[in-house]
Amino acid sequence: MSLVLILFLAGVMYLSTLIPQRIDTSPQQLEVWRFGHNGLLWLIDAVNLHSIYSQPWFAGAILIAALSLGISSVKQVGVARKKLISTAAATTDEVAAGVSGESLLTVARTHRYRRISTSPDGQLKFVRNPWGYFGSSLLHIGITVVISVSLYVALTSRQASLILVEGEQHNSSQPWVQSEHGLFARPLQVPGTIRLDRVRVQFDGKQQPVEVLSDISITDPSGQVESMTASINRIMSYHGMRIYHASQYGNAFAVTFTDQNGTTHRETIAAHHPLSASEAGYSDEFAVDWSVNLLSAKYFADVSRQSMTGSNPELTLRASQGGREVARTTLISGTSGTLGDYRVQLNGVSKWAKLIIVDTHGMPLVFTGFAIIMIGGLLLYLMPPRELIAVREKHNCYTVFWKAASFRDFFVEERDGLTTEFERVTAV
Amino acid sequence: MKMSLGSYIAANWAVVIIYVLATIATVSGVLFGKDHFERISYRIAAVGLIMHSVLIAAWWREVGHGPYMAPNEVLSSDAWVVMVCFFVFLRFYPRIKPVSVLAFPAAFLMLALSLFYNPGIRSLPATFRSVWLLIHIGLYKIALATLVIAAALALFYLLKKRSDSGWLLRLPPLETLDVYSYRFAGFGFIFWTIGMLAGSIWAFQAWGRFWGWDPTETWALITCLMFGLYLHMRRFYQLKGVRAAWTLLVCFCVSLVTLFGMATLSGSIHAEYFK
Repeated sequence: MSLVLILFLAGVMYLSTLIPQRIDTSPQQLEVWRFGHNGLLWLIDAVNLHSIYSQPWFAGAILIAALSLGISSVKQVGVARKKLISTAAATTDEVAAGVSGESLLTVARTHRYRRISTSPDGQLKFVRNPWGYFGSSLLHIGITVVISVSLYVALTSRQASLILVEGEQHNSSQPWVQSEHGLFARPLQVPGTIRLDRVRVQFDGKQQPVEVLSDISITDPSGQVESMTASINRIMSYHGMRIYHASQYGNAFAVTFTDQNGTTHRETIAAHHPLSASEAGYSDEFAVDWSVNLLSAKYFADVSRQSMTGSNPELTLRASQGGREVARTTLISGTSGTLGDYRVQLNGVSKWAKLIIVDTHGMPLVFTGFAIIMIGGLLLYLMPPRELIAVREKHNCYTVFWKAASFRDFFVEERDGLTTEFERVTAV
Repeated sequence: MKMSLGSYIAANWAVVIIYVLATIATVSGVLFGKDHFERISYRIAAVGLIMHSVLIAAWWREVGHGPYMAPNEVLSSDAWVVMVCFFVFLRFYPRIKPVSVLAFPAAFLMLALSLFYNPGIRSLPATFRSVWLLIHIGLYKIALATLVIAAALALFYLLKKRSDSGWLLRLPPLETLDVYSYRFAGFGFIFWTIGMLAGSIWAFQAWGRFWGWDPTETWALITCLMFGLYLHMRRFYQLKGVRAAWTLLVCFCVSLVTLFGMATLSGSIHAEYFK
């Protein structure tokens, strides 16, 4: 059963790397792929193979895997307990005979074997790394916890993102840039209004951004304002929701386009922050309702192209049609230029940032599962138990057997060391 | 003290040559049964490793971030980790000695390949400034190194099983090769899994999601499941010998696809900075 499930899940995941998934493919790319795979579309659409990970049958398979692992974990705890206390000497190597009880205890202690049990007939059991017996159980319990809780998180969590320019605000009636929610959750809504007050970028000596800080104010329906600073890798909390600063930020350019009739159109063009002073940051290509051309922009942090912190960025605007550039102009703040039929003026520059708001429950349990997996895996593969079983013979002496719970050949040197040590103490 | 790009590249080529010399010495030692050749090879490799460490540290200081932002940094640090792990494991498990025949050439090939990529300076995005990223990447590098050792042992098993003569007689017995490859696959599996979990924690800290079915994430999970399947079959279904060795080699190839193939082919966030 477990083998079939592992193979099935691996197979499904492999399939998801062959068939583009909606979760990480743009609609245009998806259409291009579908155009080239006409013969398969009936099957793909019937089973919804473009959204494998949100299908009930996939969730069902994960649930069965969690149940199977859970049952297996319970069984393994029993097996581990039995192995720990068992004093069966079968499949073991004899390492010494005629050893006194005192010598036995000394050698066992020196080699870090702990006394675990004494049977009614006087048989003693010593184990090195006794907790190693529970490695496999813990590994399986951890995987069970992670799978089960992840499933709960996937079904109940909700997330949304928004892009704001300094001074701009977003209220609960406006649409998000991107929003997703689990099957059992309603779409995310923030109570009140979020305003981006200011974005600050801090650089190191090599002019690389080390920190991006966005000051935001959230006004709740009663008019109470809460101010906070969000930054990358530092999560803020608001009414149980988590606010993340995404890695996307940059300059937003206020541009006026004036056509030959004198009609003006104002646009705010957001472009991603450049990686260095000599490289440009780019915007996505976008459409406007007053022109047939698509527009895009790039900018250098400073017109000198030598500074990331200069106050005079250089903006280049590009108009294209059918993938071909039809016009281009370069501007700095306060200047104007011509882009095709339009007179263009750069009126001002501010900053923008993307924020992600997440409402999810159960993550501490997921991370607890991670910790259990780590402990279980480390115990299983780094600390396999080894046993010394001492069977009482005449005159209160013992015959000693050695056994490794797994990877026996790895520890034969340890076994040989024990043999030598027993020979030495017995001779004394 | 600043290092010029030219001298950095020249010094790396010198390390490649040292690793090649170490390879020649260790292969001669294993093929002709000359222990002193093997000992000499370790000394040569150790000198190369010290130089390699200095170069990685100097480059780290120069660019201001660890060796994980550009292909040349990634491959060079992979080579370094393979060498370090080999020497560390050799200290605890002397019977893996012959693995040097494959570990040393793997290191010099990765380092040489790294020098064919442009070693330009890549800036580190603010999202990447997290300790979880270092743990995530570091554990994957250790996983790769342990899997190289496991695969080398599985390969030795298959060669020895086919014809136990000549230099193959000097390898450990078949049972030892079998159990060693099993345990090193276990080490690799656990480092791989913990690396994946650390990446998940980092993703949650950075973007609010701990799993996103990104192509590299998906392949990492497929690799994890494959190794899980291999280990499960060894533990509960008595898989061993030739079939176990072949299964392990297949899993190893899948891990290479995940680490290197997906990084150059897929459009995942993991690939963005490898290009």
